[in-house]
Amino acid sequence: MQSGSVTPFANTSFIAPNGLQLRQTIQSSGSVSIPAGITWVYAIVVGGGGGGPSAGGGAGGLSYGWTLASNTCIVGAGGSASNGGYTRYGHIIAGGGGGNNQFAPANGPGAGASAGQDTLNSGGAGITGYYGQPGGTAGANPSPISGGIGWGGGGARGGNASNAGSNGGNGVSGGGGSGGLLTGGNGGSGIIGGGGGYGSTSGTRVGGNGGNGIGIDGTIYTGGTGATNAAGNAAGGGGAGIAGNGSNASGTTAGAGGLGGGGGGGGTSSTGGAGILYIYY
Amino acid sequence: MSANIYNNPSFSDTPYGLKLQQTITSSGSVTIPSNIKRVYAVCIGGGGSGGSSAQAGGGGGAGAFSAGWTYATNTCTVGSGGATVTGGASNGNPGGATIYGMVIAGGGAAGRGTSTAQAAGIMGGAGGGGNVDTATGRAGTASGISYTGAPSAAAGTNVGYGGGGGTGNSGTTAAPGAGGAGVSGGGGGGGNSTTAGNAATGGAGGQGLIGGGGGSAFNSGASPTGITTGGAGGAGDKFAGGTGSGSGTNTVGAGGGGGGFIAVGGNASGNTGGTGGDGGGGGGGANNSGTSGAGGNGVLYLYY
Repeated sequence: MQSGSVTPFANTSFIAPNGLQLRQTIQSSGSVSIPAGITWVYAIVVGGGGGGPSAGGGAGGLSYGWTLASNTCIVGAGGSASNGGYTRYGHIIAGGGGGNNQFAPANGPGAGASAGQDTLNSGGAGITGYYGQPGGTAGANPSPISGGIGWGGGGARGGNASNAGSNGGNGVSGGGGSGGLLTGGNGGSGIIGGGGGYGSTSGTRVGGNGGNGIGIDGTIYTGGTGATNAAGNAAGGGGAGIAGNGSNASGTTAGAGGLGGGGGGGGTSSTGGAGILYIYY
Repeated sequence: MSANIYNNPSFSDTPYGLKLQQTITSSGSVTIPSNIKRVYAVCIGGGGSGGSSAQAGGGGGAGAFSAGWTYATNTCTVGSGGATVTGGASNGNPGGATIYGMVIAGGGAAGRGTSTAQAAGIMGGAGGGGNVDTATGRAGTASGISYTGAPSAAAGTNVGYGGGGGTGNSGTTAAPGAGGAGVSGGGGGGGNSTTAGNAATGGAGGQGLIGGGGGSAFNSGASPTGITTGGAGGAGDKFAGGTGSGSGTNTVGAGGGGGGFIAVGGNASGNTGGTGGDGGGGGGGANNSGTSGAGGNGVLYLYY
């Protein structure tokens, strides 16, 4: 039973619920303290972003809704050449973004998929959302090479020594861009952005940019820019999170994903952004 | 003043201004005041029971959690936990679904005890753990798509609304899979060591709001001496899972029960799996032809 001072009005909105206040922003797993008398809360949960290493990582999933107040939570870490971790509060759960060039990360609702590998392999399909919203189609060989739009954007088809990288699908959670000849693909944009792929082979190479995102207060967060490198492969920029910009890439070092699930760029030391939990009551 | 979206909570997705009025633990009639036309229901399905294998049975999956508005009705179904099985050649039983009006939560999938696969979880119910029989590891099952439409998790240690069931494994060193984490945790897989002196531990149940049952352990080597320890039941947010039994060889090794929404999971004893905690916890798997743990019973909460 909610107390009168914090009771929401009836016309709650889609994500940020009207009449409620954002009371807690949580960035690590552990205990949660909810005032006595508050038995239901509204949670927005974001999984950790996936990390490269060559293709960009997928963005973490986003889920939201009412749930019973709980005194514990799990907040997913960003993946480092791996899938991101899931975030859960009560019965609201969001998966981590795909990483490590996984074709089809099976990591909970709503995550973006990572891109394919560098040999024209298909990307991973985007993951279905918490409320059943479909994920985007995977970038495929021979076409379409870009990931499709979906709640979780599809991952791009991989490039190779003769083909440039392609773009991750847009969505609520963007898919990762792939690496390839000279130019890496861009990460998909959304509320949370996917990571950009890396440019390879020889000559002046340019990594893909990370996808852009939007915060819960409407702030636009930008993905990091891909590196330009004439002496080696060029890493991709990190995708924006729901709470922070993605980092720029430098040389072969990937840009990290932004706070709140941004996908890591393709390249060395690729790391997705950590997940985050917002609690309203 | 007539009811509209601004003054009547039943038009919104919020349970605001409501009180928990009824907690129901068995199927039957429900009495709702005549002026209440819509209620907010929280349904939790029954947990699956563990499997019983001559070697190592898998743990049962946790029951699903579903919540939402529904019209008021005068009857309900509360899912029972899956019943125990025994004798060394039986899959467990799935938990029953809990249903009130148009809100439904599926039961957890059964743990596996034989070479024949059991059914997957339904309506958000978690997957059951795989087993080991004839020194062969068997797969667990997938979870069900949730009430809200969140996707199923594939069999194995996969995260989902309901976690996937862990994979059974047999080898010189047993390496079974844990149940996948989620809102409802998957059952752990059974583990068997084929080397007499090697220890074996069953896969832990998946953690979640409701925990899955632990898998069991066995040693099929000649004149075995390795310690067999059952996997722990998965921890629930509110209540802990039970411990697996250990400190012996094959006379112990059953899995613990998963923590439920309203009670702790039971500890395993000897070859008998722990009972899943009420509120949907998964039951522990049985080793060496023992008796598996029953799943925890479901529950229904009504707010208005």
